Amino acid sequence: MQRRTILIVVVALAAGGGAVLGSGAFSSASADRTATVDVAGDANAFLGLDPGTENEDSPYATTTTTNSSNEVLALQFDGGPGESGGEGLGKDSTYQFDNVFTVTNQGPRAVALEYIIAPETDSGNGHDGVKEFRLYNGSDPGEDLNGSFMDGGGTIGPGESITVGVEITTNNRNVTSEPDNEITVRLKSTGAEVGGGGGDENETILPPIETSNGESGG
Amino acid sequence: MSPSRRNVLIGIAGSAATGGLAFSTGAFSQVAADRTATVNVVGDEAAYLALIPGESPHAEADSDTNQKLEVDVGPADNNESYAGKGVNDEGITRFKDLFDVVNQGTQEVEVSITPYKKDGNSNDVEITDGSVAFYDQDNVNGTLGEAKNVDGTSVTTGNTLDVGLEVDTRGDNSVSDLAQIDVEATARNNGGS
Repeated sequence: MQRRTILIVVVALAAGGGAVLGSGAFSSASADRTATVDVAGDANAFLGLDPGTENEDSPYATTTTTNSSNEVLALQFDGGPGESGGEGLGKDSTYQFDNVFTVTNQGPRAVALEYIIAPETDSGNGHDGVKEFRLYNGSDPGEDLNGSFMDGGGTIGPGESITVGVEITTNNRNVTSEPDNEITVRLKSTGAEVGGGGGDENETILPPIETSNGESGG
Repeated sequence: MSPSRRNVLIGIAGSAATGGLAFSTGAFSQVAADRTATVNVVGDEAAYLALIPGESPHAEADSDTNQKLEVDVGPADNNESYAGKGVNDEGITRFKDLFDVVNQGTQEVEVSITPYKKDGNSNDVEITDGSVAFYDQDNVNGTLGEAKNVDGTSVTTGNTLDVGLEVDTRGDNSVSDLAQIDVEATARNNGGS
């Protein structure tokens, strides 16, 4: 009798015994497997985020250090270091800041970008003074990152970058950098469908954005 | 501690022996002799509890460890080319299609996946802060940050559980301490052994 035949006999017996004894061939299995995840600063992460552009710094973008000692992108519009002269945003105005930061796709798949402002601006609960906060493509405010720019095939391929501009519209209230006025931006990248696979998703929360018009809170 | 695959296969042999005695089946000693030859440790893709890398580049069958599944979210390997070194700090990242758990046994099983880190004495400690979730892709909240580890998900014979990974690096977290996962499958009606 060849081994192959014998093995089939064993399997059959096991199944038969299982049916009668209420215990199957494969009652329990446990497998320990190695799993590791590296965490990186924004410059080296899968969704690369760098202040300014490759050729030019922006006074409105810098980096800050997390509890895990990683450097992450931070935006500021409060007349802080790096800015010259002005102390912040005026009332009832719309400001556009081109090319504030750069997003580089350092992952293996093409991604589309969108953003979420939290909590919603001008809600009466915080963000007094900031009516609207938008992100747009480079130096073109018409190409909102949440608009048709990305829907129109504007994905970022592996190794590719786009620069991002910021538009802030203020109302007639004071814009302060008090903690309850901080704006949080979630930058979300969604992997393009590849071969029926789902693609990855990433939401990176930028540190609270400092905005001020130089007047004291009130 | 849970049985290793080698033990599981020996357990199968035990079932066969019990069944044989109960039915007074003949020619059993010869079968037993050959049965030892069946205690093979196979690569994960061929095992009764099969662990098969998905489309994500971050899981693979490691040729250095007898084709065992390995999850490695980090810099690109030899056959890949991307510049990223890891997930963004202060963010949430979901990797879809990381690996499949396939029930290639003969019974419906309940699958659970538990992530572990090492403590100062190299002991395995379960990660319970929610920062690492190996989730059931067919049953997950669409909001990033809300995925949960697979916990008792039923997988019938021949069927597949698609597993994704969500890591949440907001605040203090255990993401970079992740060292291993335990994939457990227990047959239903088995008393939860």
